[in-house]
Amino acid sequence: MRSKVIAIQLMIVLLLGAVIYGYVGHLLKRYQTTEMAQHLLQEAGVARIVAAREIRDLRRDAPALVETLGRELKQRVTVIAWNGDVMGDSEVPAKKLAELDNHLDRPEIRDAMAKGNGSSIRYSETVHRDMLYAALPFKTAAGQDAVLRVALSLSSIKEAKDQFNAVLIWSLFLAGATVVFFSSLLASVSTKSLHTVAAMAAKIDKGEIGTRLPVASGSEVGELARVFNNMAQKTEEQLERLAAEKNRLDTILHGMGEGIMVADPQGVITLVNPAFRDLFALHDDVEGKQLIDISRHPGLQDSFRGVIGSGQERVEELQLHTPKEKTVLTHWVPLLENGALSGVVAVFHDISDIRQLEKIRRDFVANVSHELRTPVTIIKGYAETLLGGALENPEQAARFVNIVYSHADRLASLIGDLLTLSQLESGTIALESRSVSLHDMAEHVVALLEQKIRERGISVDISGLSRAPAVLGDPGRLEQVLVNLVDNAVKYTAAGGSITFSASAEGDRVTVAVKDTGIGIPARDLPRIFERFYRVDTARSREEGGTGLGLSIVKHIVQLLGGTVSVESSGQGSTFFVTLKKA
Amino acid sequence: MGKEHMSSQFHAELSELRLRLLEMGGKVELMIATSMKSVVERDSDLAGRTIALDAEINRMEVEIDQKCFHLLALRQPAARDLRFVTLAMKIVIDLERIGDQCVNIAREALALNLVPQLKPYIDLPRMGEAANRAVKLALDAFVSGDASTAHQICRDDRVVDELNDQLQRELLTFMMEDPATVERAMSITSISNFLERIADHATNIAEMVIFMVHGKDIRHATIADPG
Repeated sequence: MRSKVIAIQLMIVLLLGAVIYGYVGHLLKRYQTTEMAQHLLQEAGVARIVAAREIRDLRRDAPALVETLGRELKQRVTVIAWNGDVMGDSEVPAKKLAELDNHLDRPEIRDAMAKGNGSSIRYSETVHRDMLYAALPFKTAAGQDAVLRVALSLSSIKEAKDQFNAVLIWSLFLAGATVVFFSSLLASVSTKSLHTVAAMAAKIDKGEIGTRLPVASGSEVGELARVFNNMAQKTEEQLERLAAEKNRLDTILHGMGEGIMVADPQGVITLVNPAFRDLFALHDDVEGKQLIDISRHPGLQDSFRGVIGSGQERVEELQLHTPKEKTVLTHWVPLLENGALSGVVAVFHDISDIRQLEKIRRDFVANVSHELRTPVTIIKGYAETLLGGALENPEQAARFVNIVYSHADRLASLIGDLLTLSQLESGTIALESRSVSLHDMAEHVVALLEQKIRERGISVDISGLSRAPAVLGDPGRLEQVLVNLVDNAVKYTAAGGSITFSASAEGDRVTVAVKDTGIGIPARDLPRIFERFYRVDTARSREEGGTGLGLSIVKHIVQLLGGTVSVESSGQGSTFFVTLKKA
Repeated sequence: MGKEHMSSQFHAELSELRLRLLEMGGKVELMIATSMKSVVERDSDLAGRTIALDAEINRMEVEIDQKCFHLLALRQPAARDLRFVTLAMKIVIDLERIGDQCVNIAREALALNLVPQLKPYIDLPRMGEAANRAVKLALDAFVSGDASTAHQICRDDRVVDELNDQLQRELLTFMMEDPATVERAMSITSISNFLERIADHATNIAEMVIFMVHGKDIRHATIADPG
């Protein structure tokens, strides 16, 4: 751009210069020649006066005269007879005169003879130069007609012309150089502003969106800078809006409880949120990896392939086994861009808790109906038998009624437990708050269950409670708790086993431990044993006459007393821990 | 058919092989979980479904073997790729065997579920978890090319071995006390043995992953050996 400007300006200058040179040169030349011709004619005029007076005999006087005149005028002087013969020439020695051509045909001579004066410019064979001739006729003192001619070498003109040329060329050169220098300076100045704009644009392109141009008002560049700054400002604002939007979406994704996963049709994951990571226990980078590298669960792979293949949404329940047993509701949605499949979005909803609660409810209802039905069926059966005739037989009748009674009793205790539980859960039971001695309580409970303990041949050790601090609670309910725990321990410990009590205190809490050497509780059942009717080994538990509600009641009572209950177990036995407030 | 086209096709074939191998691994992991669940939760339906999965495992073994042969014959891979393909062929065998053990466990579950439970299953689930973890870690190591979890896998294997011994002893006393428990006790013993074998297969896979990653063959040496 810059060089174009300079080149144009240079060309203009040169063109102008050429025109001026040509014109002035021409003018000068013409002027010189005309002036010179005029001047020469004047000189010829003076010379012819001298010649007219001094020459009597052409042949005799002309050579000397021309020599003198030539010397004085410093020009070539020639005298020509009316017939054209050269009588004298200041440049030619007298001896050589006869060798000269007849000059009659020379234009200036002819004009002089015909018109009274003549001039011409031509190349002289005689002196081998461009000459300017001026010729005038005259009459000698003897009355003879002759022509006087003065000639001027044009070499001086030529020299002057050459000098002029040189001056003009040098000045043209100088002008050109000056033009180049100044226009390049000017060009620099204007392109500098453009360069600044370009540099700023490059910066913004690289990402420094905050760059702005200083505005030099008034100039066109200033206008450009203003527009430019406006544009940059708008772009910056747009980017900020987009960033804020992205942040909002990120926050939403981040805070969601459901897991989100976005993948491309090849199975490469492009986006996940923290909930998804938690669900699959992923700690490293997930984005950019293949689905199979993240989880090998066949269900997940099949679902993914299904959605990609069919292009249809699908909802599936997935059973995860690692890292934990979980039920996950998965919703797959294909992503379409211009009608083509561009990826898949999957939403994972952890419904393990819901399923768990459903299972508990189902189990509970099933258990209650079973528990209630069994004794009722038996009672009905025996009543029927009695009505059918067994009443007649007093022995049988007595036996049957006893059976009916014991089952009615069992039913009563079952319903009693259920009611207790219900009351405990609803908080309608009033609990006393008294200081209770653990040792005394344990002693009492062991006495209550003495028969069962003896029958099983189990040893009970309560010595660990001898120094136990007193706890705060409702004595009746606490007794219920210990009875339940000890009863369980007895039920599930084989003959020869032992039950050991111990206590530990920490701060304002006291923890009682009831340890047995029984068959233990499987790990997967541990979290559920405090559920209503939950049985680890259904057959055995029923056989022993349990209601399945014991531990549930224990848990509720302890919680109402402001404490906690927990259990540890292995194949060698179980230990129940009850933590209560210190009295 | 420029050289570049061939190499990208080769690359795609390797990726496909890896994918299929991992899918097979995922199915086998599922089988371990469901077979143990069918025992512990006494779910015969689940046992049946586990057994049905084995057909798919066997099919995948054949498919992957063929893929490997194809790759070796046509592409003649070298160095790391060669190790990968040959080890894929070996790992596939271990996976298929694990599948078979799971089927065996499921079959025992079917038998056990017809009779009352002998005793609460405490050690069996723990063994199942350890075996499952060992297989998972071995496959994870394969995925990540990171053999640093090999130690954990060996530990899990030892845990399973120890629990197996313990369980066998316990069941022996059961059987001696009460002959009526023999059949059930034998079933549980079998399950324990199957789990022990699954854990062994997991260590096999781990050893091969180490070889693939480090070029070091550590089979038949203990982890303690520095060489």
